[in-house]
Amino acid sequence: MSRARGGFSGTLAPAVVAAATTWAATFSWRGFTEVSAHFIGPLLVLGAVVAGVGAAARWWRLPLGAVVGLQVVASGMLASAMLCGSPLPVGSAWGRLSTSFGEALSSADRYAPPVPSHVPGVHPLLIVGGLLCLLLVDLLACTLRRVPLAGLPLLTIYSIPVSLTGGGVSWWVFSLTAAGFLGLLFLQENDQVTRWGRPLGQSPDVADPSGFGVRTGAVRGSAGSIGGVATVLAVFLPLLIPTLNLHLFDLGRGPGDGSDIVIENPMADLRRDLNQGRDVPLLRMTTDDPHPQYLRISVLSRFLDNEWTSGDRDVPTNNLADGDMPSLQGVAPAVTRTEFDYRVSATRDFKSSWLPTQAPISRIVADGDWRYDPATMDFIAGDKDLTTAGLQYSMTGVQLGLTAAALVNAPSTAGLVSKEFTSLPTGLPSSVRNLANEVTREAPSRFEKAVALQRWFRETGGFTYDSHVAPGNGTDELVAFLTEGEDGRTGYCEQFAAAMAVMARILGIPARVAVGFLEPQAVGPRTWEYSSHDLHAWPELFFPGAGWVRFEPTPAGRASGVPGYTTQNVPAPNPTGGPGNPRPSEELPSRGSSSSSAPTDPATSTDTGDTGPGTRWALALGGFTGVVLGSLVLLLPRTLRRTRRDRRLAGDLEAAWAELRATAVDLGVPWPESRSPRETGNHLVRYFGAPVDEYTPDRPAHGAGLNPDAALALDRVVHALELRRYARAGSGEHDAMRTEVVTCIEALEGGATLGARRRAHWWPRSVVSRLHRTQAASAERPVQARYGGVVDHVG
Amino acid sequence: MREALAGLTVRGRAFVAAGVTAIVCAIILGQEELTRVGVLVLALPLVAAAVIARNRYRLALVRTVTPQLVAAGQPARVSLSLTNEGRTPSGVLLLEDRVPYVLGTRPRFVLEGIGEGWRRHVTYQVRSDVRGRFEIGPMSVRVSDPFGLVELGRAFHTTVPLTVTPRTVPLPNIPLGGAWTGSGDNRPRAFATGSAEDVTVREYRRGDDLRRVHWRSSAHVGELMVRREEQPWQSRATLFLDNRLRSHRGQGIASSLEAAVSAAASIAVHLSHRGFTVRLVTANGEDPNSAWHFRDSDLNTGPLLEALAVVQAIHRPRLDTGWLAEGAHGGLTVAVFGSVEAMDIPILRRMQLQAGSAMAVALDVDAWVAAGTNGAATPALAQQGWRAVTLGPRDRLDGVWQELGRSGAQASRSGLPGAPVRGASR
Repeated sequence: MSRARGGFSGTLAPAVVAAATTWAATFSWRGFTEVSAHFIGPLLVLGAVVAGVGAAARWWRLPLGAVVGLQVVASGMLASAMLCGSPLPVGSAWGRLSTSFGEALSSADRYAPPVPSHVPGVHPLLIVGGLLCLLLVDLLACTLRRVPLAGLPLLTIYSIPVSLTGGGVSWWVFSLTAAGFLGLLFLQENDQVTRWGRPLGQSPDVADPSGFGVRTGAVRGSAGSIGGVATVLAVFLPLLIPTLNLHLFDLGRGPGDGSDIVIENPMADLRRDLNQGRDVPLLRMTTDDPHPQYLRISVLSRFLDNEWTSGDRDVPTNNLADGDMPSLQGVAPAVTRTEFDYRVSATRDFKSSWLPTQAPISRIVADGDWRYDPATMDFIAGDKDLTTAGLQYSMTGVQLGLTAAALVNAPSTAGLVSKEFTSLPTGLPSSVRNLANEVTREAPSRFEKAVALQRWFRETGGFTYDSHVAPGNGTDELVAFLTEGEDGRTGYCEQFAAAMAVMARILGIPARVAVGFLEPQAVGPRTWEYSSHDLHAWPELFFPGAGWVRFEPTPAGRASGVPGYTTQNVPAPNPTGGPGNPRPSEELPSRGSSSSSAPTDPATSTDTGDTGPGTRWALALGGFTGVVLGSLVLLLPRTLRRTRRDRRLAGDLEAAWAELRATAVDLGVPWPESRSPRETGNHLVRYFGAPVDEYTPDRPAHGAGLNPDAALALDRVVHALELRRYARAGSGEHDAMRTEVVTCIEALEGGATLGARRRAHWWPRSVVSRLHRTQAASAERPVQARYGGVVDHVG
Repeated sequence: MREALAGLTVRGRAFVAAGVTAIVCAIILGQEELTRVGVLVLALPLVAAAVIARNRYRLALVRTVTPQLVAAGQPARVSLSLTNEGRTPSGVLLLEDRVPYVLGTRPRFVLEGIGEGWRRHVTYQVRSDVRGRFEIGPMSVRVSDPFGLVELGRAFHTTVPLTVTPRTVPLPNIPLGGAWTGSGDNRPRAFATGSAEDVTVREYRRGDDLRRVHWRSSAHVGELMVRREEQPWQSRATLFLDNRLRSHRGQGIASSLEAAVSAAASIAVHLSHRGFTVRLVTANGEDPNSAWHFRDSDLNTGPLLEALAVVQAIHRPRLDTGWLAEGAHGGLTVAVFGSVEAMDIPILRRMQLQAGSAMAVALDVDAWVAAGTNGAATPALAQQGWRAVTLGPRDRLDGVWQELGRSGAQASRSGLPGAPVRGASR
């Protein structure tokens, strides 16, 4: 057809690339649903339709509105057919369509990504969103030829999962999208170049058909290398530059030796710290407690289908950690109490937005906006930037004299605690319920049931402690953990604590999971140290009159002791003593292998750096080095310049002339290149001024007549240089003319402004710009060789 | 590199700004994924600039135009020979030859991936309907990266002049002046004997008569010198063109001035072919480049046409009379006038008095802009003793020229006053 200017392939290529790029970008949405094929496949078909229809319409040179309209109609009908089985969503098809969208919306509301496969998928939303982006990218990149703008919808696709799920997009999706976008840019630019080079308005017989024009396609190579380098930089640079890594809540994204640990979900962090990383000291505690043990960081009170979370917290601004705490919740006045004072100092590497405390406590003083939730009595940072790093605080812990007898007789818990502590997800399998009832069938009271559970987990249930079990504390993991089998009944403190808490709730006992430190190591008199491998999780059960009572279901391999009250007055198969006898060497077989972890709550990070004086020394040394380096950087150009000047002035006349040129460059005086010495001198003398003294103004006058001595000196220098350069060899003496050159330099300085003089003093440009200028001069200056066939150079 | 960074296009600068913004936002918001986008967008123009800055190509261009003097409407060929003496450029080179727009479209070429030693030859035609002197070139080179983020401008320096002369028409032979200007082997005598030729000497050549040796010069130079006696006599003509703005009407190529210039050019060519040495005089006086020189008549037309090619309308109110004061010439004077005003009459009178034979073509300038006409200056000229004819916008010059010849014959036959035939003034 004569209507089509170029080949159809030339029109089709950008459309295909645009659609493919958009499609590749939608790969980043795979995290939204478990069955990504439900939207990936349809989007591929839709992309092909959009590209094909658009390319054909543009090839026929339809107006812009018609192109977009055709694309919208064609792809919209196809999408409608995919979603509701009819190209036109009318009648019953409309009902199906709105139903699927309604279900998709409710799924998106109800489930966190990825949306599971057994519920109505969110793919209608994804398909429609992807189709919109396809149309938009095609409109901008192909129809309007504004490829850079097409980057915006692509960026939108890319950033949606980042903002919604917080998860990353894999690097290859990014690379594919980037490559497609760069390809579009290249195609458009290539097209423009082709149009530019086309001789317009010349009849073919006049215009030379071949011309100079050379398109070997070699530029594709340089396009590839430029784009490749940029993409590789984009993929790796954010990983390699630690300063770009400001993710406080992001564990282990650092260089990977585990030295920087940040915790998002307490349980997730627990897992990670158990399985990897070195044992890093986190807390140092001075106390009069002879046997300090459990140190609680946070409490997980809400159990949903997939995990234990800390739930919604109610932290009023007046609940500050600045003194006496409210009375102990649910503890009867008759219970004996023993108070110990603790002074805790966290290392700089322990970055947690939860404050580790004893439980319960009667008094705490900590700097900063630390607030407590009265229901759980754990402390959270009210300020987003507040962490425990380097924090020192003191508290008074209370040890209750609980007895099994009192606990057994505890009344009903009805109405004493929030329903949250007993609620269970509806989807909890009945097998778990049956198991709980079966294990505790013979125990008459709630407390005895709880003790029976603890014993079952630790001894009779056949559980194995293994910190390398796949993480998770949701319903599915719970069932897997409780099931006997090859991999069954194996786990670590997370699973033990979570399972016991769930089973206690099944039995009607309010339960929650606490995350914290297990036992410290003694590092001095009355001084103890908690490290990252001491992180642990345990259940707390509520008994009226005793409050929240700690249990220890984790087997003895990890947690050697159980609370004393759980061994009294009930069948006590566990001979180990009460909670007061830490024997670190036995309890923690090896600090590197099986630490049961640390349930840190929101943000805990550990670092390998030394604490105390070592850190200070390192800091001081670093600062000193920085100051030295900084002053070196400041002084280096100046020193270099001065050395160079001395050397040149001691050298021959050419060196002295070069020094004069360098001074001119330093002072910003234009130095005419490729001129004779005489011309240069005539030019230079206009910038001479009287030598600098204390009366020199900031902007001194300069001109040819202001410094006749210097002008004469320059004349002599120029004359000597002319003799040296142009006279016959050996004719006449060549003095270095040191004094004359110095006079000229002083005159130049006298004619320059104060700012220029300062710049020349501190940042002499000639030090760096010499090489550059000569290169540029040789590269840019065209050379005329002859006339008449004129040879002219550019390059 | 600095130059390449300064050469960032709007797109490149926008990319840098967007990249920096994205990175800063990513750091503040803690989004590593956004950092990637920012780094990509920022790195792209910087890498492109670095690549472009590393270009070490070196193009050499040889440009010729043949012929350099061309009549309006006739084509001239520009040939370009381009060589890459450096390395392969990494970007795209966009070449554009800066040809004045009246000569046609500017040729554009795209060069990409040319290796070392690459050589290409190309020619293209230029053609102008407008007389004048044009510079062809210089060729500009734009170096662009494959993504259009960096663009550097370079330019060759050399240009080649092309002179487009006015259109000419061949004119019929008509009697010019008196009987002594006849055609045939008798070359017209421009001035009387006893002129400078007496003192003109040249080197002695074999066969020269010894009696012609100029002993005084020989003694002075140290070699034998002879008097030149075989020098041909010249017949001289003055071509006067009134190019004052006030004398002409119309704009640009359709103005009466262009018609006047074209007529003057035709007359100049005609006179030259008739053996006259022609000098051009305009309202500004004598053009030094086309003054009478000792030159062959065949070569005479070139400088004359070149001078006519660049004649522009001038603003001066009065005609320059400096050339009239040089003494009596008495040669043939052919003038092309526009409108003539009262204050010009004395000058016309002086011109006629000094000329041996005064002929004039007067343009009916008002007819160039309006249908009606006030008549040309022919009667006024005739009153001052000129042989004059009128040239209108639709008249053919050769016909008018023929008429001028007839009017001269009639004038001499009928003995009208104001058309006396004067002899040589010396």
